[in-house]
Amino acid sequence: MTSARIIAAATAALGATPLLALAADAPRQGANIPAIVMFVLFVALTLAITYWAAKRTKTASDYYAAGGGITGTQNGLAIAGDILSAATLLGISSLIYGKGYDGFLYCLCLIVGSPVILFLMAERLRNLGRYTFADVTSFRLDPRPTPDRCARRRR
Amino acid sequence: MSSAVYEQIRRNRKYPLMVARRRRLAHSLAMVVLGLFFGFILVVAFDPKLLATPVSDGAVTTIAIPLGVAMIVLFWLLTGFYVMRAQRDFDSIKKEILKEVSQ
Repeated sequence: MTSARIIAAATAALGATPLLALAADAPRQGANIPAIVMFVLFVALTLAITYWAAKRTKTASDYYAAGGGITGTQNGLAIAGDILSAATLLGISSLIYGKGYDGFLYCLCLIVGSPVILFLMAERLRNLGRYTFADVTSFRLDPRPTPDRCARRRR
Repeated sequence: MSSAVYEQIRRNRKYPLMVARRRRLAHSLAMVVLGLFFGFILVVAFDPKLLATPVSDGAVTTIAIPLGVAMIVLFWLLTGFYVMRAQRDFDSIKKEILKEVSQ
């Protein structure tokens, strides 16, 4: 058998798989109109917010950290949205689907990190007066100004 | 601010007290959260039957569910407590120290 024949046979077998699935499953489900409408609505809303936010972005500083002008409430909403989208939608729902209420343990693990980070890190970041974590680490670790600073201290 | 002002802040009587109080609060709250969480995880690991006890006779819900919910609510309240203390107590002490120094 030549390789072309193998590929043709594999393609035919793969192409027949949906037919097999169709034959095995009972009647096909119709289109889930409410789900599609909700999906399109969410995408449209996200695009609208992105368009609105992009119009306010002028400089590189705006682009990286919103010009340092994010309020506490906005930041809280952003963190809440981050946790809700990734962890809740994918992690918790699938864990509870797969493992029953044992998956609830994941909720606890999810929430325990944020208070500990708040108690141990927040004050230090605030004292440093830097805006993002990247700013803080580059403040500590940037190799270029550090020798200069050491030299000045010795003087 | 110049280094002379920093030196004055360091010499201010209230400053080391405030730093020590703040550190004690943050560390004890972190210990409470981590202790409860890892205690729960250790019970899950070594005695899962204990947490599988039903809430009442014939109930499907086990005591792990209300315990977990209580912990989540407690952590949330502790976050609020820390933010309240940081904004009300420590920020006002910081303002006092800065006012004394700038005089």
